[in-house]
Amino acid sequence: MTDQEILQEVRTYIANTFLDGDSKGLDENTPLLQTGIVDSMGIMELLSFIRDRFSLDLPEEEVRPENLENLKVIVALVNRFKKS
Amino acid sequence: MDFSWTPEQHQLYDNALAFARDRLEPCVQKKVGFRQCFLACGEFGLLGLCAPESYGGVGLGALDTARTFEAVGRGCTDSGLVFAAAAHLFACVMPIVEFATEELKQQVVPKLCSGEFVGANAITEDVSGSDAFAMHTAVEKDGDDYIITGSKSYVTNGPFADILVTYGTLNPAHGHMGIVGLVIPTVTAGVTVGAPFEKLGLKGAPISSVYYERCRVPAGARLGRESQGSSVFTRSMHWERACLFGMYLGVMDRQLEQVVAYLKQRRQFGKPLSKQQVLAHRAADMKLRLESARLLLYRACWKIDCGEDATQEIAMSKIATSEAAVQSALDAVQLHGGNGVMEEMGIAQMLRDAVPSTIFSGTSEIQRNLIARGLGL
Ligand SMILES: Cc1cc2nc3c(=O)[nH]c(=O)nc-3n(C[C@H](O)[C@H](O)[C@H](O)COP(=O)(O)OP(=O)(O)OC[C@H]3O[C@@H](n4cnc5c(N)ncnc54)[C@H](O)[C@@H]3O)c2cc1C
Repeated sequence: MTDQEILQEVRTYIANTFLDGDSKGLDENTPLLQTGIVDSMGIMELLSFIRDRFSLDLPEEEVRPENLENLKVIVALVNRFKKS
Repeated sequence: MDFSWTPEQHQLYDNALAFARDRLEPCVQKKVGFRQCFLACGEFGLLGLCAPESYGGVGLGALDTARTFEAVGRGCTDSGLVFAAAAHLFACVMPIVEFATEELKQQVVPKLCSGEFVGANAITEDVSGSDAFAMHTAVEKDGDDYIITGSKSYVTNGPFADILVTYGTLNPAHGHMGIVGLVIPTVTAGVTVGAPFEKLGLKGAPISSVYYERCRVPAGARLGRESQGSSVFTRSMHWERACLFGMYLGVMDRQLEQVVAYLKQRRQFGKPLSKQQVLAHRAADMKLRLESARLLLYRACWKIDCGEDATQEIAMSKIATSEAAVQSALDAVQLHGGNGVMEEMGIAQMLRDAVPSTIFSGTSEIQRNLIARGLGL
């Protein structure tokens, strides 16, 4: 899967789950945590989505804001922990 | 599905009811003071019901803990005091038990369980109530230490607290993931506690603001990981929203006993009030509301004990119990007529103590938001 494909899938998931399907203005740098797009319950849903969809072996200590603050870092996280 | 209690669970309930009636209530009536009452609660084990025995707790699960609070709520008329004990246990002791370092647990949990230390939870601010994670209280890292600056409002037990489980933000850009939970002794330089608030009900629970002016605590004071503060708080609210409300079941039991006795004894128009079907139906509705709330609460606690995600069940149980407490208290006042408004019957106090229950631990609206979220809305 290319970075672009991963980005597109996560973007669609976030738009559908947290933004009533409206992905306007949601780019790879949009702050997801600061803006509250993904709130404290949403983070669990997002994590479970990326874990399942991309078969991630994601250690708990990697569940840090730096790894989830926007789509760009989420793509990097997916690439780092995809099961080979 | 098995709805029966074991003989041990019956015994636990009976012991807690006896403690509340024979030990705690006399302390309340004699006005021995908050600290003395707290020590009595500690002696019985109330302050550490669900904390492990190795730290001075009783080691109960959520269901038995809630049921114990139910018995104490039934047996003790000072719901403010029982609320204070529950807030101490669920929002201060439990986050420490579940997320603190071993060293910190050894240091403070036994003293919190015995009542030697009074614990509090400080998250709400003037700017952030329901939107709790929008807090402004700032946490700065300085080497291995944290420095905290800000102010918290509505801190239950604040005026007597020795230990404050306090939440602040390390980085507002990280939203709820920037929140960190810290265990701060009240004696720490820079902590000031405000005067106790006057309030509508739960008067036995002292509540105040707490101010932090560049308070320094070591890294060992942190609960969980740096980004985990919101999860630590949410988990403590699961305990509180499920188990604390056991107290209101007990209050409603006591209230209904009082209502039934009054309807049978008070005569108007040549017969007891109980013979007016409209009044008997109101009592029947109180019973229905109480038992519905009870089932939801037990199920929420059972799910916690199963180690499953109980967010939805807890939210439903919290709404059902708190809203039943308010409505049934209003019904009890109405059924008692003028006597319901007079202080000596204790009915008016039940109403005042019920009103805050739809607000603290997350308002009814916020619980409905959680349920709606679970429905995919
Ligand atoms: C007796 C008592 C004890 C307390 N103890 C503590 C304590 O120990 N520690 C602590 O930190 N805090 C404590 N609190 C504070 C408590 O948690 C807050 O009062 C509560 O979370 C609500 O916040 P608020 O008062 O700022 O109300 P707001 O958040 O300002 O809410 C006002 C109204 O708006 C509604 N509302 C807000 N947002 C929404 C929304 N998104 N959707 C629908 N409706 C909404 C609310 O439900 C409410 O009806 C205590 C409060 C009480 C009453």
